[in-house]
Amino acid sequence: MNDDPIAAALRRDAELLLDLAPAPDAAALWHKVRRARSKRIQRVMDICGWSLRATVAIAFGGVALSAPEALPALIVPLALVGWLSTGICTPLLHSERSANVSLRAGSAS
Amino acid sequence: MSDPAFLRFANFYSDHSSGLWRYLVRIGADRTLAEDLGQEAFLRWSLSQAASWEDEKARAYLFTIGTRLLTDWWRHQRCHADWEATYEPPPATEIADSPLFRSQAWANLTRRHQQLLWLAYVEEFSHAEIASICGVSMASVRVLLSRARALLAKYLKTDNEETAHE
Repeated sequence: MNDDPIAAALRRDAELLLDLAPAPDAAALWHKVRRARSKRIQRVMDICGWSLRATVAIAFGGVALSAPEALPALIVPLALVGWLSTGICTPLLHSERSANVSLRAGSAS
Repeated sequence: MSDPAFLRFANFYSDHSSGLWRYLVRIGADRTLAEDLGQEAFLRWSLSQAASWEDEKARAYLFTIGTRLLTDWWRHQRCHADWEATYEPPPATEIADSPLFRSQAWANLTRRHQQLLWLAYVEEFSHAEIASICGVSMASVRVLLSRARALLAKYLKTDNEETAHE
């Protein structure tokens, strides 16, 4: 293949073009990769969180229709589940926010 | 950073980023666009299952992503993504010393021909890999590649004859 003029011409052009190619910066792109991965995981967790909340709300509605007298006793567990699902299902969002806060605090000081 | 995932990414990126950039430039992207699309291709590659594949297979997949991103970009620009049309490269990517640009040999080829020649002779992909990157059958790759080769040989020969006459 070394004597092939077509391959030689193409490879010569590729060599010349290599000088114009931008220098790779893996670290900068890696940050974008990590951010994109976090976003993707966050989307899945959000879906889980909202599914959990919707399930609890439907169950709450069912109880409210069948046994309205038990309703006041269920408000506290419902609020607790809503609050816990926020924390459990959005860890990345919270860690990102706290990281942003600490960054801002760092830059302010 | 000694994270193994980062090391794998960094090695793969430094090995193939300029190869992908050159390929995108030679099939129709200008330099800045090729850089942007190249980064996006690596981003998508790292989020896909291909990030855990062996190097050769992963490289073919990366070039497939790059090709599709460029096709999408053309569509977004409301350009018809016509692989069969001849393509005049942007002046910034022409190299005067290159044998491909002495007599417009490269510009006389269709984008599909350019793509096949580059993938086969510069990147040295197999016919099966080229077929998956270009989205054509393996039998078509063989036929199109031999046609592209014959055309480029003709243009380069014409160029050599003209140079000899001068």
